Amino acid sequence: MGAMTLPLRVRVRPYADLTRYFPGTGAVREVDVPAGATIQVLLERYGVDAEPRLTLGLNGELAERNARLASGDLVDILVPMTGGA
Amino acid sequence: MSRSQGSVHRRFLRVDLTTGGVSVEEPEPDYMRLHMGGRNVIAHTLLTEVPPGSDAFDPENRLVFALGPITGVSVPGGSRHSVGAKSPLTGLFGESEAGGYWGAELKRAGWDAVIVQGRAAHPVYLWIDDGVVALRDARHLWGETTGPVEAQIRGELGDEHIRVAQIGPAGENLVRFACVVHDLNEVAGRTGLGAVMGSKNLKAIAVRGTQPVTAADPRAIAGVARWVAQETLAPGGAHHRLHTWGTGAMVKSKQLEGHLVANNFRDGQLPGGDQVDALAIEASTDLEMDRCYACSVRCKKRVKIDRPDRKVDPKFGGPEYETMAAIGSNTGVIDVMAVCKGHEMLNALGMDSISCGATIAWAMEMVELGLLDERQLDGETLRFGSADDLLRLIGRIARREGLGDLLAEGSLRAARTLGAEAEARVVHVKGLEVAMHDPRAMPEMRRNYPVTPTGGDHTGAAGKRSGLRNTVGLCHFLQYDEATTLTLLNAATGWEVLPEELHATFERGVTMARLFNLREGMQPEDDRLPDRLHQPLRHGPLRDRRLSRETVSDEVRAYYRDHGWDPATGRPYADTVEYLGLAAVAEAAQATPFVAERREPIPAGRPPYTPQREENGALAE
Ligand code: SF4
Repeated sequence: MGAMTLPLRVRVRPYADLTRYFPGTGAVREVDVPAGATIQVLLERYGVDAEPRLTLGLNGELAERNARLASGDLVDILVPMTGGA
Repeated sequence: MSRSQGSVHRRFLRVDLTTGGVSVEEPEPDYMRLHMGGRNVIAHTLLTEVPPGSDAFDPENRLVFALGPITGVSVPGGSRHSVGAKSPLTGLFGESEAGGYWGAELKRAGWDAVIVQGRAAHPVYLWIDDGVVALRDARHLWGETTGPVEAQIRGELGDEHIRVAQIGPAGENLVRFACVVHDLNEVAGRTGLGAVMGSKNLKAIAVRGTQPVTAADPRAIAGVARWVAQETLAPGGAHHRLHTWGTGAMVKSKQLEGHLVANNFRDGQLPGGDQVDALAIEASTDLEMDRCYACSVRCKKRVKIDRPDRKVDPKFGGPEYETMAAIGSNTGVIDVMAVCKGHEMLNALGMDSISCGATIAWAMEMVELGLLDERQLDGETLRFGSADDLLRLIGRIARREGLGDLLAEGSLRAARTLGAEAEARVVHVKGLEVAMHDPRAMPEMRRNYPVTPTGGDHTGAAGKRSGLRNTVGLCHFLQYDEATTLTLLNAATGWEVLPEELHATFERGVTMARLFNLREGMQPEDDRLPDRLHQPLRHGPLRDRRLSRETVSDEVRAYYRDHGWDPATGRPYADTVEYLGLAAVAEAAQATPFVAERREPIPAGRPPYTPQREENGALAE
């Protein structure tokens, strides 16, 4: 094996208006990120890191931005609900 | 009205249902600027007019519909008004807001508030036709649900544009969490105001107003309206998400974070619990978005479903987030169609979705624990997750049938008939069922619920932003900053209010509500969260986290201090009462025994409370 890094194909599920960051249509979209990428890399690549607050899921569980992605992973991308009174 | 100064008429309508008398009241010239509207007018009225210790269903209770100076002004968010009375659920300050069109219509009819007292000998409704007011027989409407009543009133008065605020059968039956329904889909939901209306034999208030609301500076108003319409609705804009889906598009975030309100606040996650959200409603129903008066945000859902067993009529609107969670995940129900159906039923019958859902969720837990016996159950099955049980019980509560009669008392009263084990599982503050944001995960709610004068209310406005929105009549969802709110107020009224004065208005509102609550027997220990919310969640990422009582009591004391109240007793200091111009009010209200003396005087020139900035963030979308 050389240094060649094949891109990683993962699935993203952006909610509501967050779909605008990702190409394609449908609730779940396939995107490519560099091998070894974290969720943060994915967010930066598609410009979602511009959002001030995000809630992230990885395969159905709450995830941090530094979570490493594997092929076929499902990343949920949401904005947390606020309740400021 | 020639008397108007900008958007404020300085005209209150007084209705005495016992005598049938209606009269015009013109508050003192400085009253409107001092109190402005909404909660402040309600608190002032309750303090000075309701005899101490009266029962909420006593004819001496007042039912107040109070607009704000911005209500009816042609700007997004200028649709809100507040309804208030002594609450039959909490026995304390009761108040809830609504949007839609009714408030704006009342302003167009030339009024700033309607104050109702007494009790009619038989059901009546009030007809406000601009400046002409009449009480009309409502015996033929009593027992009817809200849909037919609105149609009937419009028909008999011959005007399709009439706006109707009304109670359903739940209010007639004195269900303690009955609400006041405006335009069939805008409810003043919390604290049981519909039951107060029912106790007065008042079925509805129909309004038609034909006079445009004038603003002192229409160009400034138009500038803000233009900003909302042209710069905030497109993708990425401040109101885009609300504009497109309304509330509840991000329910899944609560599920992931582990504080989805589920199974009577025991579980922070529920398999499928996030299937009841705005996106599911969009995908599975015939959804249209609707608006309130003058609002380009258009965040109100109108849900239509044609399925025979779940037929839903769009005229009742559609569920907001609070309803989705209250009769969805908190009762374990994950069927979005059933939740839409339940929402329609609640608006037709006239009940608050939060208290109703929370009371049913509590009863489901009681069944699990075997704390409700055969006789009390009266043949009722009640299981978490059963949409059929949920929908059937909603109807039975409104009609006070079988178990529904007990639950119509609200969860705390119902629990007290069952004993301590049952009471320990009621999720309430001051007797009001807690709204669908878990304070174990949301610091803003942890600080808000214990001290909000109405109890476990997410809009109860303990904080400056919500408090002022309520008082001026402006929707919480609009992303206006503090300066814009002030611009709108001044452009509407021509008053030239400064930030310090607006802040004092907020302090006046919370301090009056506080004095009312203290006078009606509230103790400092009532400013707390219920046991359940100090217990860890059973599932999800937060299951190991425990919210300590000290955290809450420290924050409560800090809140007292910030507002110029005694940190030990929560009683407003005399200098605070004096500074806010409330000394005479406290005296007239027999509330002076609940005013405390400060030991160390505050430095001269400083207000007796801590000036605060508005906290960021709108109420949950
Ligand atoms: S933002 Fe929504 S709730 Fe608020 S006034 Fe506009 S349409 Fe009504």
